[in-house]
Amino acid sequence: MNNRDHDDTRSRRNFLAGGALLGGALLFGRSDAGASNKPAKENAVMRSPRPDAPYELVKPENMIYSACLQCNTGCGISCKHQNGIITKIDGNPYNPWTLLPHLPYATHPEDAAPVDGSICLKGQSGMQTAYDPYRIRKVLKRAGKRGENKWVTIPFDQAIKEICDGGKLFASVPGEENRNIEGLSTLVALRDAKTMKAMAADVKAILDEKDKDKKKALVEEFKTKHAANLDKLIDPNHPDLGPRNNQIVLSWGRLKGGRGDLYKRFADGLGTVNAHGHTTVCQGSLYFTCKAISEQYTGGKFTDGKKFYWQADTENSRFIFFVGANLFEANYGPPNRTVRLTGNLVSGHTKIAVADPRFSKLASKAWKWLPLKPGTDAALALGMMRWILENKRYDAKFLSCANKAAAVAAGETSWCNATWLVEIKDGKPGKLVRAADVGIAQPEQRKTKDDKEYTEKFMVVMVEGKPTAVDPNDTKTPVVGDLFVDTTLPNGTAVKSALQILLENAQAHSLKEWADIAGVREFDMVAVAKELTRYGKQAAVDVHRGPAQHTNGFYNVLAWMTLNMLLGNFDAKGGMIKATTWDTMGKGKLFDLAAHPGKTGSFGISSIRHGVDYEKTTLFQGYPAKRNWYPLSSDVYEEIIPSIGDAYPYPVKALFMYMGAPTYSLPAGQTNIEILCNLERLPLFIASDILIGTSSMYADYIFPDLSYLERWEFQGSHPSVPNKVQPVRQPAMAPIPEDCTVFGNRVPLSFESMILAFAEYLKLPGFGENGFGKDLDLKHPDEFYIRAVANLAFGEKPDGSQAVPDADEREMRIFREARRFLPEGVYSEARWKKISGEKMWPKVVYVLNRGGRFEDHAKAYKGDRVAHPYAALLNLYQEKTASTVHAGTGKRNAGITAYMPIMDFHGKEPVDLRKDHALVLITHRSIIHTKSRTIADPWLNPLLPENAVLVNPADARKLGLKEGQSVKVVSATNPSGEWDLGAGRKKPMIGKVAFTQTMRPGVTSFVLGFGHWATGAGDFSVDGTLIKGEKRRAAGIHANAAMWVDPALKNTCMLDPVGGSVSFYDTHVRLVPVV
Amino acid sequence: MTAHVSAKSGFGWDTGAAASWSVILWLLWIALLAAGLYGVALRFTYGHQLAGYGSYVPWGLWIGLYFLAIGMSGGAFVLGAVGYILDLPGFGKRSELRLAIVLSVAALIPAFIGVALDLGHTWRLFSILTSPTFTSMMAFNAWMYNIFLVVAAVCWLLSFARDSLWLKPLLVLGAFMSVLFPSQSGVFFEAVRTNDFWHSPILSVLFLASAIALGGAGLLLVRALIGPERGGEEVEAETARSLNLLRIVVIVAIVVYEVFEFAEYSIAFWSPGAHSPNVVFLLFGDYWPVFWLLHILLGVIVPLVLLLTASKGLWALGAFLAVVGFAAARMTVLVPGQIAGQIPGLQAAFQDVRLAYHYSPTAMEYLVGCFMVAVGTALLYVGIKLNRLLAQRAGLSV
Amino acid sequence: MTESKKRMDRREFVLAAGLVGAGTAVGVAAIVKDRLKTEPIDPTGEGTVRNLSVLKNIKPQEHEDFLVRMQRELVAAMAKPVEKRHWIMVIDIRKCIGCFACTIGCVAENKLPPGVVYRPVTTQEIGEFPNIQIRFVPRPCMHCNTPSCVAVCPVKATWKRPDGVVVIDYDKCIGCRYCLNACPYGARTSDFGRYYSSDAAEGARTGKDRPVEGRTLPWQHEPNNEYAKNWDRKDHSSPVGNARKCHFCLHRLEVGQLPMCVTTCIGRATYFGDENDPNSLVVELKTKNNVQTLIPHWGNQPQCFYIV
Ligand SMILES: Nc1nc2c(c(=O)[nH]1)N[C@H]1C(S)=C(S)[C@@H](COP(=O)(O)OP(=O)(O)OC[C@H]3O[C@@H](n4cnc5c(=O)[nH]c(N)nc54)[C@H](O)[C@@H]3O)O[C@H]1N2
Ligand SMILES: Nc1nc2c(c(=O)[nH]1)N[C@H]1C(S)=C(S)[C@@H](COP(=O)(O)OP(=O)(O)OC[C@H]3O[C@@H](n4cnc5c(=O)[nH]c(N)nc54)[C@H](O)[C@@H]3O)O[C@H]1N2
Ligand code: SF4
Ligand code: SF4
Ligand code: SF4
Ligand code: SF4
Ligand code: SF4
Ligand SMILES: [Mo]
Repeated sequence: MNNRDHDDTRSRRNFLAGGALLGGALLFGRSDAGASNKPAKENAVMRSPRPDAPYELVKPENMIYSACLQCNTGCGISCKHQNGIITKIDGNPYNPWTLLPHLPYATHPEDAAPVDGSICLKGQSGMQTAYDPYRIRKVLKRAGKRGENKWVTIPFDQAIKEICDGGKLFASVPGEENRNIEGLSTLVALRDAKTMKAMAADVKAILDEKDKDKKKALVEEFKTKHAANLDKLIDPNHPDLGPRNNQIVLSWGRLKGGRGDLYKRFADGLGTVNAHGHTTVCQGSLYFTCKAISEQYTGGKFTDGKKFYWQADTENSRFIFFVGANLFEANYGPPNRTVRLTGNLVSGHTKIAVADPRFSKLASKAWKWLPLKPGTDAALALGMMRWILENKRYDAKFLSCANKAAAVAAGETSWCNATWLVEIKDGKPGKLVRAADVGIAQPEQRKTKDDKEYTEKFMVVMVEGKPTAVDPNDTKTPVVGDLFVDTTLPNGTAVKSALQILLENAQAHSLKEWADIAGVREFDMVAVAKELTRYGKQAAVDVHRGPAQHTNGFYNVLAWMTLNMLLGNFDAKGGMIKATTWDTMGKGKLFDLAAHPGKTGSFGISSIRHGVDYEKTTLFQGYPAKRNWYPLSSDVYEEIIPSIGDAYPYPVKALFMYMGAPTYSLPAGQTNIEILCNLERLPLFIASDILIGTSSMYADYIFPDLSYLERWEFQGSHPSVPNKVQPVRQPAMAPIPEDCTVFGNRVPLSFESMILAFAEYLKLPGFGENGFGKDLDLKHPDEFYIRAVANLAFGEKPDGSQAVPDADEREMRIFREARRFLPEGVYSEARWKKISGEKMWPKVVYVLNRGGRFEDHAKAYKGDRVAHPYAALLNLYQEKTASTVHAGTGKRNAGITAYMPIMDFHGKEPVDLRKDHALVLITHRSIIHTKSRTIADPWLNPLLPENAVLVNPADARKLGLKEGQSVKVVSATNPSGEWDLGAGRKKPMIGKVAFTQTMRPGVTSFVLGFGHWATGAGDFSVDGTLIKGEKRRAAGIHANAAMWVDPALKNTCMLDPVGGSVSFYDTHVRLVPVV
Repeated sequence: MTAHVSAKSGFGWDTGAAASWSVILWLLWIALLAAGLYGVALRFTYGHQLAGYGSYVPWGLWIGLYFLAIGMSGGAFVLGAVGYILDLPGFGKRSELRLAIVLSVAALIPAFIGVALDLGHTWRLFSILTSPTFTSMMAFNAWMYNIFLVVAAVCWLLSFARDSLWLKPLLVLGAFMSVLFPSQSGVFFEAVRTNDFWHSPILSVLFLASAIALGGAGLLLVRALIGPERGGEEVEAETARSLNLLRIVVIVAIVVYEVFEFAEYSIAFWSPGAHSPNVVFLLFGDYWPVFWLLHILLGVIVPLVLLLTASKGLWALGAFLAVVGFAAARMTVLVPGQIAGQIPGLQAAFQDVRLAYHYSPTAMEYLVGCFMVAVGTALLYVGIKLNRLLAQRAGLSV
Repeated sequence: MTESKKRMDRREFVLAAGLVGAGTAVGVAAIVKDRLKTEPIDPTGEGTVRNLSVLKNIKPQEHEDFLVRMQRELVAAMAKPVEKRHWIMVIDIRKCIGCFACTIGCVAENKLPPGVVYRPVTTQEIGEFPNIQIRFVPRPCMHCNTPSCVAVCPVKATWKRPDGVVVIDYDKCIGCRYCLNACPYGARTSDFGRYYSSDAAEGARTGKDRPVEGRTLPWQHEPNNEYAKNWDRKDHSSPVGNARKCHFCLHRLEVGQLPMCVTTCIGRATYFGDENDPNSLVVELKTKNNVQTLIPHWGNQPQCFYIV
């Protein structure tokens, strides 16, 4: 059933004719789903000699439900086929993103088929990404300089062999005749799990040692103890850097469940700690602030913080203040959030206000718009908080619950530490006071979850003026604390309650001053504060990239989240809610897909220096450190490549990049190009891509991947979705790339086959025979994905009581029919059935026939609470954060929100950079595009053929600019206003000026998604044939290269040293007319 | 292209000069035809893809030429027929009548070609005849033309008969129709009630006036080119009188046209509102060169000046420029009526070259325009030849 | 030589008058005949009743999505003969977020080539910073009750159906584009036979072994189902060369589905239904709100109503 040769239409048609016959032979139980599919002549819609034709797209056997990935919202989609080609994509009605309420899960697919959900224009254009003429089908190997865009195709097996064995792989490229490349085989230096474990333990001891000399001694000790294996380390004098395995770095841009698990498994197999994603380019500080807020006090310390965030319960809020959130154009995302809002706005149930320097489409439906100055979110929030605190408009009941028991008693699910006492030293807040330390309570010996002994010292709150010990997690004794405390404890410790510190921070400026800093009217600021506090828990502040992507992003987000705490709206219907998903990994249930027998393990400082304190390492050399360290955040995208450029903390030998375009997507992304082109600093660069992208074009090898319509993934959820869900992305079309063989199986070239082939060649543990344990192989991608779907179908109860029903015979037929054009390597009923097991098979089909697993809409709430609450401690004051040090300044980070100016890595305000550059450059999304994926889609073109440099006419007048005129965007760190694309090529940052009153004067913006130089926009050659780029894809401007390069770091953008975010909205630019 | 060069042309050109003119005109015609054929080939190879009209400006050059040619056709016929019936100087002879009929038909056929090529489905042209709705001015016109064509052909044939009872009545009918259909060209636009710019009764008057002017100018040009039938004092005087008459007809028609045009557009300024965007576009916007330079200057002022001189050569030039000027005038009715969208922001909502309120003809359109002119002139040539041949056969004076 | 008789004689004059009179009479008769209402050429009566099982097995949920409610109403309306239904559209401008999902939904559903669009959404910026507003107005065909587009068509290729839908028979349409000029809403566009992305991946090798996909985009070559018929545009066949416009997705109505632009409206700003059903959502919205039509003074009586 090989149907992959699309060129031969004849064979396709023949095949399909067969398929149709097959379909015809099957009698559908209730084939009247679309009764008039074959209208008789006299029933004709329009009488004419042309015969009527059935409408293929309404038939269940012509649909496969999956999940979109044109943007990361991941809406449920229905991929509809004609003759084996996806010609139409609509919304999957089972999926809560597209219908409100979505269809009950029990609905039969035949009944669901005629019901379409709504999705956005990009989602509907998705097949154009999948059938993009620039899709690559074979492995490409670089045949010119990096960035020169000359390629040869090589067989898949040869590529795997070359990369693993190393050698003079590019001898035919001028200048690289003698360049020897270390292959993965030797880089995977340490393969022995026992040694790894032993070394890891010893390194932990080194890190935990505070005394400098003792640390040194421990290092020496380490060297003698592991003398036999020192050659396997990056640097024996710095064992904390870990084994040479760490010199392999795996990176990714957009990675979802399933593939993410496989990539992690690959990293584990390779024994590297370096697997880093793109979070910080996205909304890093939103995630990592919320992570810091969610740190739980367990085992005597703050730990288990989750990388996640909250959003407003759009559907039920009475008032939402959207801050830097671009709901109708972007966010997560237009289809599912808009439908939850517009009806309520019109009925008057909900009111919204918007804070954004730009009058967004969302603002057009808002009661009030606060056009704040970029980067001043915390000032606005503190001003509002001052008013709320001084006017006692906060939720005192919620705030005073000092522990879980109190929360439960008050009818809350979560509680916060507003009342906890913080020690004040030199006027500065530091650690939370421990009751046992100040003689208020006796310490207790307790056991942690994993059975380790520790001493519990308890927190302290004032209860009606009396210091009282509190066990935060206690469920029996409610402790209700005093809110505002500023006192000295009997033992002389100066203390303040967390809320008191917040109040003082808020009182650092008058309301008028705060409003002025933020550039809004005091009246408006107060009006929003007032309105926000009128609806109890059914009001929320919903924030997104706007406040997060600044050098002060962490504290901006914290300010808004703190404001939510004042509203006491967490877990409330209409308040702040979080995402909840069904598990697919099956640990302790059906198939344990996390099991990794023979896993080597890994240790060492990560290449982006995250999750570890600089001070603890052997690299510590005082301040400023060479580059930043990130004890609180991870997936610091702007550090992955620049750290390689600086070989700090160590040189990297091989970089894998999956579905990322850091050169394009990062602010000052051009800094990454230079490093990617540097053969010494980066000897080997391997990319997985569906085409030659703006970053993969610098790779040594590009492995073709399956697009999102051809592959598996578990999309997960977003915080604004109250229901428990797990959308499944599944193969919905015949793959474009050609086949290869891994572990003896014919499969299409893909991310999975690349990983499996490396694992096979390198004999990595956790893959191949018994990869998941006894009799559980991992030789075919299906052996992971089908089992994961089976886990999903099985549910989360070990007894299987949560399992979905079996698909009936009609469903089975629909399932089979709908996949008639998928080749054997992708879909084989026999294989899938075998993998899932006879018993689970009909359940797997049940889940796949619905595009995932979705809880029914009504189950999202219990009374006025969400059914899946966060239900844990919220840190209004963050002891853990307060214990970390800014590696650039050596100053302790604040544990509570405060307004900070924009600063570089050395803590300097960029006054010099601003000089002579009058406009603040920001950027935003239009619903029409995502960064580098949708430019392939011609349908989107007429809606916006090119983006523009948006300026307020008032500014334009001042600058003497004319509408439509071309300008170059220039900043102090990019005075020439161009992209240096490497290999001698440049692309000027020129765009057309568009006047709009929607821009705050003094601010200029451009829409993301234009100005490409690859992704089909540029010329390239393969095997000596020149392939031309499509002009329309290069149109418009992408001004990221104008965004400031951090003057202290020099090879990356400005960044948030705490939350890791990149700075997208702080740069000042000049617009230079082009003649 | 000159038909028959007599010893001494009515314009006083000598034979030698006329002969070399003839070569030049032949070469010009061949070039025109070659270009035209290339254009038609392009049109059939690429469909409408190389055209400049689109969906917001659906009609372009060919439709403009179509209405130009219709005007000339009607004008020529009505002048010929009325002149013949009234026995006006230079019109009273059968040969002169035939010439007018030939010019009329020679103008009409290329108009059909223009429309046919403009259709999205050229070969369905005939369904206008087979399944028309007469609520549509287009269908009505199409029937008119076809009936007119038959009437004209019969008149032409009857003109060779020794005596015919039917000739004059049919000429009256033809003249009636040829007054009607140019006016209906105006109605064609006026009938679009949802278009303020077009929906004005003045258009039929304008179209009629221009038809008379075009007919006159056409006849004047043709006469200038073929010269009088045979030398001699009397003939020359007759020619001079007839040319003078045509000159006056053209002058008067142009003036009438201008009076009404002034009325039409000046109203827009006394009552600003409704259709002023189109008028502004026409007079001061993108279209100002077409209106002021091509139509008013080149098509009205210069021809009037030339026609007011005493030089017959300059009259011919004036007539030619008047024709060109009316081509421009057609575009000033056609295009501005299409440019100003009623829905604000429509053009930006979905951007495409075919969805723009902008139009300028493309090379392919001009080439096809050449084809129309080449066919028209060829028909004229053949017609004149046939006139002579058949007249000789019938033993009539040539 | 019969140049003798210069002036017309009486006989000739009578004949001439007769010819002119008869001609005028025929012309007037032709016009009058076609002005008179003709019988619909569309099928009517029992044959047009559709008993669809769509949504019958799905129990209504509390606060059902408007989409599902409207689809249920649609299924009910389809059970009536065509002449008993009168489709209208209601667009709530207050809810429209200018997302273009409807524009592209329609493009996708009808496989519209470049330059053809049935439902653009216009964006208007009003006011000056900081007192500004943006307004979005989607513009489908208004399915006018007195459509100015229909009268001008020379070949009866476009007409208003008994259920109110103004349709075009592509097989009849000659592509004269008169109707494009006659529609005051710019709702008609012409298919000039273009295809998307003709210049992508120029130079790429073809054949089974090609390294880069490079082939023409397959999604645009399958037939669309407008008017429940197959139209594949192959070899310049219809609807290439035709006028095209919104048809309220008749082919989807036939199978119990809402028009595409309604189904995919993210803001739930677009409503569709049978005006003859007093309980329908569209009737409810139309009566409860202040509805307007676009440029009413043209007298086209649009059947698309805007809530502002
Ligand atoms: N169409 C589309 N949708 C998408 C995506 C896409 O690429 N295209 N991507 C998805 C992804 S990955 C993400 S992360 C989300 C992002 O979703 P959002 O964060 O909601 O989208 P952005 O357009 O980045 O919104 C940033 C907003 O912040 C404003 N802003 C700029 N500076 C400031 C400031 O200092 N303070 C405040 N308060 N506001 C400011 C900008 O004007 C802009 O409106 O969207 C997702 N959805
Ligand atoms: N100016 C500006 N820049 C921005 C933003 C902004 O608002 N304005 N937003 C930022 C945000 S929120 C984000 S999340 C980042 C995103 O930044 P990235 O994650 O780096 O960007 P993506 O567009 O997701 O990169 C996808 C790349 O992967 C490749 N690719 C596409 N599909 C596939 C596939 O199916 N498989 C594989 N293997 N590869 C594929 C393509 O080459 C594409 O270039 O961009 C950021 N950049
Ligand atoms: S919002 Fe994003 S995920 Fe949803 S349909 Fe649009 S592009 Fe796809
Ligand atoms: S909107 Fe235009 S195309 Fe539609 S019916 Fe009315 S006049 Fe005709
Ligand atoms: S383009 Fe077609 S539908 Fe429109 S008027 Fe002409 S023939 Fe009729
Ligand atoms: S009703 Fe159908 S044809 Fe009309 S605009 Fe909507 S989607 Fe397009
Ligand atoms: S889909 Fe709905 S909300 Fe979006 S532009 Fe169209 S009508 Fe407006
Ligand atoms: Mo993102």
